[in-house]
Amino acid sequence: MLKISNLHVHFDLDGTIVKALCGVTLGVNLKETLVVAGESGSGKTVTALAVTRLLPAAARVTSGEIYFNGKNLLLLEEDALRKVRGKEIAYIFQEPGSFLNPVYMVGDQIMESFLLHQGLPRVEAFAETLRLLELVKIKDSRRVFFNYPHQLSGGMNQRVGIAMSLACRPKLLIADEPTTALDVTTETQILDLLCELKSSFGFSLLFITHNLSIARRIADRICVMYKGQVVEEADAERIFCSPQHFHTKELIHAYQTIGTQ
Amino acid sequence: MLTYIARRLAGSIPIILGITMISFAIIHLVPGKPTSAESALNPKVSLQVRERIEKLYGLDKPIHVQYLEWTRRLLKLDFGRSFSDGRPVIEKITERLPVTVGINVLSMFFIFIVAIPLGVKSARSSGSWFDTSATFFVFLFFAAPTFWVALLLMQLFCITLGWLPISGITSLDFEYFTFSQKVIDIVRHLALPVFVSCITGLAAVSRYMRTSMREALQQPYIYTARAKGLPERTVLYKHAFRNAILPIITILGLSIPGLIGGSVIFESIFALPGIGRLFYEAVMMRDYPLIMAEVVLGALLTMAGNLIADIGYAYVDPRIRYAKKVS
Repeated sequence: MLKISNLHVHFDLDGTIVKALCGVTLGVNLKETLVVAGESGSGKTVTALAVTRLLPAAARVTSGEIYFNGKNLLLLEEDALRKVRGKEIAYIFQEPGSFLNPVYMVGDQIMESFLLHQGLPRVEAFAETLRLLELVKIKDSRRVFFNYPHQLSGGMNQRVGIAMSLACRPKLLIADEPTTALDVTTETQILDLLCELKSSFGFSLLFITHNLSIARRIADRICVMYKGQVVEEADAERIFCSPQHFHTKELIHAYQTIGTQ
Repeated sequence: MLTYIARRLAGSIPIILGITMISFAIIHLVPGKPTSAESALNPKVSLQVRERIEKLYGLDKPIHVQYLEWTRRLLKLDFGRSFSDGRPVIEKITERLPVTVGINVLSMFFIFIVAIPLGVKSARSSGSWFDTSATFFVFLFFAAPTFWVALLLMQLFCITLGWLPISGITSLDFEYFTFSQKVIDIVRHLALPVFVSCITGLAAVSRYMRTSMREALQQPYIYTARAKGLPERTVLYKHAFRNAILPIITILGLSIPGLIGGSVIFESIFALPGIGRLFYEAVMMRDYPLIMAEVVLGALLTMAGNLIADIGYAYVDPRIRYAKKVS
């Protein structure tokens, strides 16, 4: 469904060229959960943002192709691309607090998608938003709708983020370390919620994390990234049984050490 | 919100008293007295006459007594009469107010209308030729002295081209015009003054807008907005703009006292009967009641400006709104 091949991304930081991605190749199949794992700076987030060309202005895709359901996203015109963003490919980001706009009510921010992509009248969009908030297990959805991000906890904000991303029933959800900023109990709840929603909504999930214990819990397949390249890709079980690349071994070792402590 | 405003208004009373006290002291410390303008250079005015005049105006009393008397009259909203021509101070100010306030409101309006989109566009394309040339021109206008720009423009539009009247706010035969002719006449007279006071003000607003917009555009929630598939205009003007507008509200609040400020130089060049010249003449004549009335007016507007800015903050940013409720 999503096919990234030989993707190169360079950052131009005041004349110095930094190679963030050097030939990333990966694919996500229908209704599959692909976990992209790797240390910080290995290019996970850059890969995620590159999919719908959300990279900052300093970044340049120098070569490679990104196909989504037969469309080459890198060549798509801006207008057509906007119809893919949010509607077919949606994102959940790392810091739920700062990825929500502080000056608008969270309900408004979710509702925006309904108004934008489905052209619903406001009353219906409001009702849909409340329904969505209940789907992500927010009990008093009416109160939360009228809250601002700073009035909600991190876990609640991330639920709002999930609700926002699912508004248009996307085919692919890209979650960029959605639980890193949360405490462990909330992390578990959010992961369970994601898995549950995945089976009811039926989207494919591209999940980015540096934490292999999360990967083990949710992944169908795992991609390990290291220094801007995919160094190993295999079924979840295979990665843990017989890791090939030394960085994979490092990651597994790190997670086992923490586990035994 | 209403209790908050009431509390702020109550809190501003001691500040206004303080301002008036200090201004009162300072103008009395300045060498020269109201009487000296009409008597010092005139050898025919004897010492007795001078003392009689001082007594008439109450200037023979100690300064704190004078201040208390002035305050007592102020409480009855009586600003007294001008020393120079005996007319009520309020009357002298209100007849000058429309010109100054009119020009300042218009130029503020145009400054914000032009500078805000300019700043936003510069922020979005920072480093581009548009940004660079916008920066160049707003600083050029900012750095050029008002009186010099005004004179050049007068030379061009009023003398060489002859398109606009050179000074004043109305033509000589204004009385005989129909309503629409009157409007056109005033617009023609005000065009240059408003334009000149605009271009110098552009720099501050557009620069602040550019800086805070650039900062807002780098925030994570902008990624969310883009990832949602929102068009760039919505991302800019809905999601980034409202977060970037706070410094502009500060400037707006700060420029409210400037509404009556006017500029002596500026009003002199265009021969406008504004507050700036009135204040200048009042100071030169040591016309204490008139000076103090303008000081009070300025102080009130400064308070009002601050209050408006704070209310504006709370309106734009919910974090400020809710923090206030708690305290």
